[in-house]
Amino acid sequence: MEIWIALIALVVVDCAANLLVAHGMKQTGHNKPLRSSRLFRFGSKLVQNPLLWLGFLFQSGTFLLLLLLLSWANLSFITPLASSSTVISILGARFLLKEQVNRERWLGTLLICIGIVLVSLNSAS
Amino acid sequence: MKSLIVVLLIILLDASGKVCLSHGVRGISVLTASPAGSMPGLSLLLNPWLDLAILLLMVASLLYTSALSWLDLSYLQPMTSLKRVLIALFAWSMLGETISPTRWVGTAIIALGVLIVGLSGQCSRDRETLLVPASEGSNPHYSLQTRNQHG
Repeated sequence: MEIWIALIALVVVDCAANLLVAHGMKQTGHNKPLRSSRLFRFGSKLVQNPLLWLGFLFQSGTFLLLLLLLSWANLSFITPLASSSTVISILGARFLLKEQVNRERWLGTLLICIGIVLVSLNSAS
Repeated sequence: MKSLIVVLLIILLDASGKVCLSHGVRGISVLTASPAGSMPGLSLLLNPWLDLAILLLMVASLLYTSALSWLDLSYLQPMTSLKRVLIALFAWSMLGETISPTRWVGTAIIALGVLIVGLSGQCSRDRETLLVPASEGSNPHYSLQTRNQHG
């Protein structure tokens, strides 16, 4: 029972972290990957964004919950179930971050859901 | 191309980190890991597998955060879910975990879903959108700019 409570908490905290960090990073603005010339200015903008701090706090919570769960159950059991955070994050990206999610992305999301259910059914038995 | 390399790097680092983490905490109850009288969590911090896991996961997390500044969350999040297939393979081959056929099928379907999402993202890259701060655009959330080539 504790495992399922911790798993639900992990998914919720992980989704919140994803959405907060994504929103914070896009508020800060676009930056090309691994470009050092603008790195300092970009970094200072990141540090001043409270949403990112909150997102990182939630990411730390995700890590601690994962650590706790891994001491209770197999990695191959936890990670597929925790992947439901992917689906919920996409819903958040669509409705909260107003991202354009096309049909293929929804189909992929549905398949991920089916995969998660299969893994869960097998684990329950 | 750079985006794809960054995504693959995130997947590899995260999967390796998770496997190290699982190996490090195996057989330990995190809540009662420290013997009475010692500093709480010290034995966990001194575990080299955990230290390596934290390092790998931190780098993966930094790359992921950085990638979110130019990629959609609805693209990056499913794409990085490919790590779950890699984790299943690592858990089976390195950690010796038993994975039943049904769980393999479930993991494969997850991978297929991720692949479809990834391909949908690749197709729409011609009209890739870049997000700039709200103050520089007219949209209350973000302003969208299009460009023809992908960095």
